[in-house]
Amino acid sequence: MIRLTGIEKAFGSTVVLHGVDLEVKEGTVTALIGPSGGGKSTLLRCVNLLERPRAGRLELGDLTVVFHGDHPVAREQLHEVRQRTGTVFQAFHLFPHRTALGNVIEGLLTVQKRPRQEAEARGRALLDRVGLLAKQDAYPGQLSGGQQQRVAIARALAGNPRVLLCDEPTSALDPELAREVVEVLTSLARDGITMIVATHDLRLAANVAGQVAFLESGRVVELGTSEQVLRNPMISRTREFVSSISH
Amino acid sequence: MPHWLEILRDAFLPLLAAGAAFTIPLALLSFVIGLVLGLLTALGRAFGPAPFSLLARFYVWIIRGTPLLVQLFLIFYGLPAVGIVIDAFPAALIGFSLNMGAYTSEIIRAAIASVPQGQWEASFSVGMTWSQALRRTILPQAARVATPPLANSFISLVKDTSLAAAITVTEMFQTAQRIAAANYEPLILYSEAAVLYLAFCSVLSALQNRLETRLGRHLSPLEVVR
Repeated sequence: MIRLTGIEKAFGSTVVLHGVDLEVKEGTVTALIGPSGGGKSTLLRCVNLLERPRAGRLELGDLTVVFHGDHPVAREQLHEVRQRTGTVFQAFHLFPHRTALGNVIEGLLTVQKRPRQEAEARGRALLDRVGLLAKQDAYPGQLSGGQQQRVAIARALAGNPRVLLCDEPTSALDPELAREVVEVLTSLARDGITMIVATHDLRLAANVAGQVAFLESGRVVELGTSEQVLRNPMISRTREFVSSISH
Repeated sequence: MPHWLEILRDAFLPLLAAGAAFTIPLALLSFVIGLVLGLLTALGRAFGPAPFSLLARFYVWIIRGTPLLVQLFLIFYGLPAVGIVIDAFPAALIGFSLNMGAYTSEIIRAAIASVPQGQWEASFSVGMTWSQALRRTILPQAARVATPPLANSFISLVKDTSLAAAITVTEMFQTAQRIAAANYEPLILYSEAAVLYLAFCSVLSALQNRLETRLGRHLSPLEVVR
């Protein structure tokens, strides 16, 4: 179980998350939707601790991190959280000086200190999983955006995280390239990879997510199954948003 | 054999020997020490706590703001007045290293800053610590950006080592001065020394090109600016 309780985050005097609660069951996918600036990305970044919330509690399985004000998170906890999360960024952020395979195995080599042969075997299996084994020796600059994002997904999965965090994974891609990424994420969801996906792409949300949370102004204003929230929203604001981006 | 050619020939080996014994080791050692100093200074300034950052700024301010020749004189002729006596070669080495450290720290700082923030975040997201991210992700990318300006500094350094002549280091330029003083052929001697400096620097330029190609091998042809 991934559980966020009362997560609060502010940048200076601007509060961007007002005590967010969210539960994600193992093997399920939750989509975070809502307008830009609503707090979707920040919430994801509070799960992998690229941002440190000023209050609240984060549970990743048997690991609990409690945030108080300016207290930094203990090194070991930070390390544990990063081991248990994998992140896919909107702008991919692949390491440009490493090959596709080099990107995927970087964490295995540097962080987990696995032997190169073993890491490469796992890296190839993951590249195969996202359909890019043939491109293992290509550098990111030689790949299309969709291919880069698929490599990034493989990289995020390499450490065998409990949850895959995807921050607008298709927003930097044209519809055709976005489709190949949606297909990969859909197939991961079918295989029971736990995911939290922040997205504007309602097709992606509808395809992969069992649960959908609508975030606005730093609050979860509607939470339910994707059927409920996307097809039949209870709150007029959600209805307005969903219809504005599906037409 | 014409007279001028004989002069060139007779001076060639002494000049080359002075270059091999002093100019090249002085330039090479100062560059390596300066690079380490520059990296530490850049990191201290960009990421260190306030005292380190202040110290780094102070160091760069002093070294960049005073003439290299004055610094060399201070170290070699000035320090003995307070009981610190340093031989000519080590004094030159200290002066040039401090100088390189200050200039390269700004190059390294700019190169580190040129690597997008997303690279740090991606490194953290795969579990790296700050120092792992620096070593594995940031510095390799910064190195490519820093290579042309660092090569500039290195080439300037090779030529600046001629200033060590003023503090009695018998490097290539001073050797040329001595021979010219004996045979009254300054035009020929200084031209020959100039050509030897040019030859050293040409080797460095060639090495720079190879290094740039190597560090940029992941770039697509459109990203390469020659």
